[in-house]
Amino acid sequence: MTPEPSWERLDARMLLLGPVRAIGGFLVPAAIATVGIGSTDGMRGLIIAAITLVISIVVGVLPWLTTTYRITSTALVVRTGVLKRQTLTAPLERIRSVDLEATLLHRLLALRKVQIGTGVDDGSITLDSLGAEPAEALHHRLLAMRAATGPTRPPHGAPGGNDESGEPRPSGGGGTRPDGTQPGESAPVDTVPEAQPPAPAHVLATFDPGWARFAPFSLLPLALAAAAIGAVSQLDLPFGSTGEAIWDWLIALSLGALLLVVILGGLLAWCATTMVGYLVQWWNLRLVRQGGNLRLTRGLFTTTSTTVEEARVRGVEMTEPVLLRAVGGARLSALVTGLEDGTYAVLPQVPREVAVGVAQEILAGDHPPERGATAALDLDLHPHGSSARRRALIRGVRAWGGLATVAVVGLWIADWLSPLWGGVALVAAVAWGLFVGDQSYRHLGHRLTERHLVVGAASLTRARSVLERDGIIGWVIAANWFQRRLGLTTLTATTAAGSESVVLVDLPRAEAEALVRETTPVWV
Amino acid sequence: MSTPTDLPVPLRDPAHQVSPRAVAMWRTTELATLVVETAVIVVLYFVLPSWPWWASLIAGLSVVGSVISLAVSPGLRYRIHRWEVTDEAICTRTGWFTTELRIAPLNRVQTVDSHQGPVMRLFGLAEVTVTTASAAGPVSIPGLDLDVAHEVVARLTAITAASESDAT
Repeated sequence: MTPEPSWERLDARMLLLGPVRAIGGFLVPAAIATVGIGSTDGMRGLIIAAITLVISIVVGVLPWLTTTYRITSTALVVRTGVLKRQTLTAPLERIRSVDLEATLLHRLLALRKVQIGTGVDDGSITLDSLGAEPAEALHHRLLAMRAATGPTRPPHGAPGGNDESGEPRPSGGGGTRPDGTQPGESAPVDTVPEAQPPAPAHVLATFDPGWARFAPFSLLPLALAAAAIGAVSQLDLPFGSTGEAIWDWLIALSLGALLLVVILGGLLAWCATTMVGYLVQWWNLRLVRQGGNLRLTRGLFTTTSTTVEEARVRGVEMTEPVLLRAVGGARLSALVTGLEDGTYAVLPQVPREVAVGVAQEILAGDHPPERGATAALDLDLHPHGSSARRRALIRGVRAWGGLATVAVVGLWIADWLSPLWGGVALVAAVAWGLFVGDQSYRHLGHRLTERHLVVGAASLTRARSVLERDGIIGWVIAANWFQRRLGLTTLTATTAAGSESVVLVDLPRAEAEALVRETTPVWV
Repeated sequence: MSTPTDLPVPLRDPAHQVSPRAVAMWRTTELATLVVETAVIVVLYFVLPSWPWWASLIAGLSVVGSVISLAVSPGLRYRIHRWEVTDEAICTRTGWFTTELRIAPLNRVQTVDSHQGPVMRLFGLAEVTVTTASAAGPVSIPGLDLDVAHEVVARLTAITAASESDAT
């Protein structure tokens, strides 16, 4: 056994973080105090300020003095705390993520905040902060050691095992993840050289500033509603007085102009803020596959780098909300096990082709890409039939018509709405409900490929999940009384990744059973 | 490869029924619900300053609903509820208005619990719950005879202890 490594400290430059933050945080109250309290109490304000500063410096210094860490052959050990000394031990094979984050201040000081995640329930270990290079080195080292020690399940192994037999496996990418490691068997850790060079990175996506054009199409309805509400509230003016028709007309005219200006201004402001926000958040986005991990780096001011192990990726989900879809955009996330919320946002609003391409690369994993094959997200799905369509239409009408009925009846009782307009509103709501139902039926469907289950959700937003067959850990075939009469079921594939389940709505019973039988032949 | 739609053979129903005493247990639970519901309505009737017609309607409908549920659901449940543990999977069928067939491969099972609530204790019954790594995937068998429940837990524990994957 090699001698235990020595304890290491955080970077000394982190000593500047606390005081600088404290000064920043205390400038405003200090200014208020000086102005508000005036000359008589100015002295007291200064004393308070000085005390605050001293406290903040002490608070900043303490973590540096008390936090030490080291990597043994089996675990990352972090000692921390002043009065209550704490020793946090993260076994290397349980380390699931090593994320780096840097605010603008961190970046000025060439520091990185390192967050090491060990699972859903255990929370994470934070080292705030290390120097940029040691942080990067720690990142690579921890992930490489995990790959060497971890009981990693064989990646993407379909139960049938009939996939890509005889085809050569690519040696790059997943090379550091040994398929043959038995769970519990400790690999020869000592042979993992500390200075092992990071595995070659395969770039899956890089940022294109032009993508920001999709940013405003996310919550546009919200903005429009806000603008409309603002405009309507402007209309609440006393222009019902008679006699001065021209005056009224003028007011109405200027109100119209005002309305136009408000709406246009609102739209412009919305576009500008969303696009700036998009650029700030996603600037310099880079998604790479490296040593069996997916690594996403991004950010204009605060940069973040997050990593997930590819063996934990069970699939992808692409969503195209109505407006985004109208302009050809889509969002992509990966379905990952052992993450807090199960999904890992891979791409923000980007051109649909980009999302589909990246999804294909993620799904392929270390399988050789099938040439000429249709991307899983572009496959035609099997529709669920006319009964399913009827149910989708009924759902749409029930939801929107019901909502409208309650609103119209309420307004009518309160005498704020004439029956005519109420009727018009109802008809419009029913028509909209039919449209939503029709759209959600068009999006509904499923398809089983060699390695994946592709599911289109029954919703106005087009959302497609592609789940590895091997990621399915159970089934629920549910049918209520109405569905039983039509021979339909709601089939749920349960999984540890994503939102824990993928739902196929209104699938004919025979097809549901065939799907279950073929995917997990444990119950026939 | 596409979904074969020409498979006429339906999935097999699980083999075993739950304990016949489960009917009495469900009936007791339904009765307790009905009693509590009626008590709440009576209290509201005397406490509230006014009692509009639609309040009577809601109260009446909910009581009628509970009475129907009391009369119909225990028997239906007993007929529908089934369970089976094979060497590879656990499968249950539950429900009465909405029926659910739940299947979990045993190599994906994470925990096996048995649980006995006060009403179950009254009738010497227990519920066995098997969880997987998915929050959507627990499979429970309610209304098992206590001895059978112990047996099932022992068997499941033995089988799942033998599998080695991390079950996600």
